Amino acid sequence: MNSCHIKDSICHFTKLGFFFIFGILFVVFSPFFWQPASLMVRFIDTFSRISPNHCQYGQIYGVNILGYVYGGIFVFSFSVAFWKSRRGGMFKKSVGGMLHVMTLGMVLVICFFQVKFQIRQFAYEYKYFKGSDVMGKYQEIYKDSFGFARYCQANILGHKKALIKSDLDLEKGEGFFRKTELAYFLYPIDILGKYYDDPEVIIVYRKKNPWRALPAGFVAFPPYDRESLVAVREEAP
Amino acid sequence: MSSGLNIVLAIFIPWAMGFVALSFLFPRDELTIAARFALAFVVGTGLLTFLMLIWSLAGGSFSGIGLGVFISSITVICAASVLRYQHTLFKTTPPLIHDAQASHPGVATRTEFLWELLDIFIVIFLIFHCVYIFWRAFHIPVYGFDPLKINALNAKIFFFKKNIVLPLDPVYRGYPLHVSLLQTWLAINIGQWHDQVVKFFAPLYFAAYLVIQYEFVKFFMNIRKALWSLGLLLASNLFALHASLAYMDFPLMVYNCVTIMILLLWQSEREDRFLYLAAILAGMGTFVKREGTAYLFIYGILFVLMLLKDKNRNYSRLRAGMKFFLPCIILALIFPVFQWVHHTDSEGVLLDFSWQNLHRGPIILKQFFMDFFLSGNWNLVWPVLILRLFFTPASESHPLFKWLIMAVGLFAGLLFLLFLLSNAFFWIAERDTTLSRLILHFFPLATIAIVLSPGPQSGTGKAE
Repeated sequence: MNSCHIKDSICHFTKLGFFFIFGILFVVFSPFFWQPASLMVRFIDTFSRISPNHCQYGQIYGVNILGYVYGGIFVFSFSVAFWKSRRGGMFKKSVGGMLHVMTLGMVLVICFFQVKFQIRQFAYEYKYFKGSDVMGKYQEIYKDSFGFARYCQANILGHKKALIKSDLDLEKGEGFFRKTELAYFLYPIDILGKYYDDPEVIIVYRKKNPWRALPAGFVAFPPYDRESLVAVREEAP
Repeated sequence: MSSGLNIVLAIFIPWAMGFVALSFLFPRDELTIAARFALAFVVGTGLLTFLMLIWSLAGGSFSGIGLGVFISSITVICAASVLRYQHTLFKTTPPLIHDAQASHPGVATRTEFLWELLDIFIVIFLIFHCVYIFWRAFHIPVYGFDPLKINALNAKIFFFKKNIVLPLDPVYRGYPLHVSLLQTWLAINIGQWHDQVVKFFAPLYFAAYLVIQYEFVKFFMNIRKALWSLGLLLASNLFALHASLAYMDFPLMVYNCVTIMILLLWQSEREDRFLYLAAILAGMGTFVKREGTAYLFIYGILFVLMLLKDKNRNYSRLRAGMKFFLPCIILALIFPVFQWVHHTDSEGVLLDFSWQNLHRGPIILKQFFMDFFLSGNWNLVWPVLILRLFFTPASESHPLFKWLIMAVGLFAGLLFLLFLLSNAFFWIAERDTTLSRLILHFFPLATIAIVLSPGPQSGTGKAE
């Protein structure tokens, strides 16, 4: 492979491509040099829908932002290829080269916006978690379930077989998520086993009149809130 | 302080195991130092979790120093054997002499200057991502439904019960335990359950993978292309995000893509040691996530196609086949044997071969299109690959390009069939929680395929 050969074939496109990319970058960057215009902030926000399951870009006038990107790439590439073919170039080769350069250029532009968003996210997370230990961080992420689990663990120590009662459906939807979080945070208090017959602990979580859910022989600790408490089997005298 | 030392030790032990295992396979300088170090972590963590499973199967407990002594003594014994083996080898065979590539200083043109500018941008981009990913991984504890429910909860139970206790829920009982056991290992070594420390291995997989891909592309192309492939990799939102999380998908991606890379190395170099390594990594992948077992079919198809291209006699092909399939099947069987011994029944994917499923086709294709081309997961990497495929003449393509495209096509085809013919269809039709993570498993292959093409040489003149 030799650089001269490559230079011959893509030199024209690279020049054009670089001008185009730097043009876009200039337009995009320029507002940051004087004022972070609200329009630009909103634009960066379209890159913010990231989740471990699926990241999404936002929409502008109901059209996915990548739709505009593809549109721009096609229109520009075909226009340049058409112009070059009128000057004796090969249309197909020009289109291929231009599409390549333009798409790679747009990869850079999108990277820029992603990094811009990540810097903002970095600053946010740093501020959000600064000075917190793991407990403090979980308190921020899982406010309700973690706080309740801490309350239970403050009252009950060690391995215990527990039964959980709630008005939420613990097998699906929100209830399932809350039960999963509680199962993790509460362990070694075990709420995953089927301890219907001989629980050592009863956990009442988000249930109206929680005292009514307690069977005889269990003594409740001071409640976590109006709908949640923990109770332990009363020891025989 | 002692906790910090324990963390370092917890990471060092599996790494040393991997290093020793690699020294058996590659006793001379066949691998670069960086590649050897990175592969050692990937192989070592895989070995560690298998040994923990075997230890538990044999009735061993995770309490006390028993497990540590077991793992360490295996490592030390193997290290001693390696040293002896290498000593004999050095005495009997002459040292390897590499054809040193002459260094041609790059011609300082304006275009070269622009390429160098781009390289600098990419290096800054990589540094930023590395800092961000390591910071996130080390500062944010395990969170999210899957990491809590499937991995961390299991690991916490193993840690407190001092043994492997499979979950009661049949849906989650069949999940492989690699990540859970790694988290248990970290907790055992620091002597307590720490929600943040247990996910420290995640960014190390990221670092190891970056090095392996860099070295792989550098071997076939040049330094600049290697750098670009990493740039494309980190241009993906989902890749960068998962590198800092404790999901199973990132480790599976590492095992999956490294297996394919090593298979391609074997295809190019025809050295049996690459075949063994690919087989071991493929087998380890089955213990990371259930999809790893399905991917064995893809490795099998690729490997058979590679063999068919070979002009060797049938006997040699059969022998090569045994060298690949035997180790990977043996490793893949360890966890099912463990489940069988513990009489565990689990709910997995249910296949349904009825004609009525054909109506799912357009829905699946639409979701595939949306994910590959209109999601925020992959930047524009897939469109670039499509352009590469259609606009680069075959004569200009690297010989490995077609294999990478074939691998990507097989992975996409397998996913399509999985959704078409199983109850997994629900996860693509009703939820958007699965497809992106499945594509992540083979996404890096696209970034490698893109850079395997003619383009500017490295300014350092180290082109292969």
